Amino acid sequence: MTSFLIIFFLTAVQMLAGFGLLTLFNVTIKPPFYLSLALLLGIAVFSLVPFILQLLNLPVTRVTVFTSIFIVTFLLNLKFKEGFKNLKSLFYNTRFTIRMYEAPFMGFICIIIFVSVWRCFYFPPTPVDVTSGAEAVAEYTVREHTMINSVFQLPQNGNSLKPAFITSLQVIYKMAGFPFGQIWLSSIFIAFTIFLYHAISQLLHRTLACILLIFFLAIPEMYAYTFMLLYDYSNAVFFFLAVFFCIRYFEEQSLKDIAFAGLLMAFAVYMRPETILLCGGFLPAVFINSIKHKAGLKKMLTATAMFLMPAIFIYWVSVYLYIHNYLPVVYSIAGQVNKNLVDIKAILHSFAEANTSLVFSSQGIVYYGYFIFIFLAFLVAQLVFKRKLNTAAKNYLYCILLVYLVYPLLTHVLPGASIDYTVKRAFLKLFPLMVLFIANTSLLTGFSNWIGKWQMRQA
Amino acid sequence: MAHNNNANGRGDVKRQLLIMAAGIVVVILFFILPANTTWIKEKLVGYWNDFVVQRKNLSLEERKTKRFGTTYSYSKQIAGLLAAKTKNKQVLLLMPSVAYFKKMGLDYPVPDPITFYYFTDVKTVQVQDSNAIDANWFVTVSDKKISVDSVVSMVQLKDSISAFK
Repeated sequence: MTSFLIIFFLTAVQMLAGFGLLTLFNVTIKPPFYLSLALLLGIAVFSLVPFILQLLNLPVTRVTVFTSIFIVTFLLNLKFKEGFKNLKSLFYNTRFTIRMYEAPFMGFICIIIFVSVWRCFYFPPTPVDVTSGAEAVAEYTVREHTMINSVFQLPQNGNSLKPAFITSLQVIYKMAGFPFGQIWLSSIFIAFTIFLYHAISQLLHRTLACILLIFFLAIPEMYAYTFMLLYDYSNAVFFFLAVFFCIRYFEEQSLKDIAFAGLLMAFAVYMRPETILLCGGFLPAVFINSIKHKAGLKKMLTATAMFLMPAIFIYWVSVYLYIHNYLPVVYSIAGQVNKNLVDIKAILHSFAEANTSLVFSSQGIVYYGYFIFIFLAFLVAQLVFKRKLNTAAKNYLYCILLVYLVYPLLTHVLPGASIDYTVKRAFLKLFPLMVLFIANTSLLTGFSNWIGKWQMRQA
Repeated sequence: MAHNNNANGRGDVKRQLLIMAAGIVVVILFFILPANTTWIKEKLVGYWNDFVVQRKNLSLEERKTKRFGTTYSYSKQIAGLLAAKTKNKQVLLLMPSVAYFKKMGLDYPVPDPITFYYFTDVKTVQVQDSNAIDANWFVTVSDKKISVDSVVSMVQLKDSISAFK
């Protein structure tokens, strides 16, 4: 019972912090997105708190951590009155209803979620990447009140030399009374599932939205990382959110959307620093869309800076400043770079290997189920039958290609990154993008409209 | 974004039921595919069955043992043996390789020093590490029984390092 109360309280404070951030960015979103997005943002904000305490060389204790969390939440809510007024008007006349045809699917989705949440709560963090890294550092941070603790006196294998995202959240949850921490991963999972469902049902009939969501939830590897503590699921979620708001900027040309997308991308970079490559790779899409909308050079450069600068800043703080200057172990990315970068044959080999072992193979089906093939079927059918894609679908397709090409290439640049581990998990970023691509195909939206009209027609 | 405003109304109840039934059929067909059947059997049903048992076994140690298996149980056993012999906090325990344990009849996937420290609070060093020579305690196995002893001489330590590889 106490655990439930603590979770409820932490979630409420996280939502409040996220609400403050949404108010500061003046992001206008439809009510169904609001709560889930506020929670996701709140978790991201929390993950910075112990990290900042460490950067300031302050002791990381229960008192300092929770006091800082309350101060940060208070500061983010300086415009609370204004935000609450907007929220009230936003939610006025909004009714959250579950249609009869949604109910069985919702029940099934709830079972899928419950099983994951239970496993996340019940078991300790398992992957060796965290037991010899973030989790061990977090455990000794709680005891020694510093993230630079006795773990660093032992021989290092690189796992403890990562940004403090997981360590910070583990510290908070352990201090809150959860010895295994990690239940925050379930909060991310639930909030993201709700967000994604609403994103799909903005475009499709709710039955189709439910089916697509179930297909997504049943991707074996994606589901496994909803209860296995690592950086990749959270990273995929925040990367997707960044893309989602960036694409919203392309459509509505409101700079606050791209500023918000920049913030979300910064959180994604904080979770996995190499995401900054995707951030850079997304810039051509920003340029092309700006030119298409005749946005002008000034606006295009402002949008670029808003999207890029937060990610560069957090990369600098969490990698260069923290890992290089605070952690007592030398870590050099440059030292890991392949000396033979322009070996085209090796590049092609990396790319082919990613395809043969992760996509077009029986092992690929074990990892990702049939989702990639469902996506390919929709892509081909859309191109064959409709011969065009709408702008949103094109943008999602661009991002999918970006992830698909960048990560195999990364294994060539950094031989320490492997296809079987790094790329396999990095490909989790593909799936929410694929979901939104499928939902944006006119083939499916047309079918959805037909169902809607048929349903409304009198028998 | 092609917002779909008309698709989610209520409409005729019979038609709603038909849409629901069609949706259920699609989901069932999806889970008939071999990889999805495996997923639903192993993950959803399997994990649900686990839950039914797990909810009655909430001790932290039990959960750790179940999750980490022999890696955890042997590590805890070694830490227990050490705690019985010394209260010295400055222990650096020389850990034999996995191959050594296997040769001695134990299936112990030796964790890396950080994981071992996380499990037990005991600092270890592996035979291939450069500071293996700094160890002041070491682990041995005879007759499938693990024991820990303090290092009494440098010669003994060097011999142990060679034997543990």
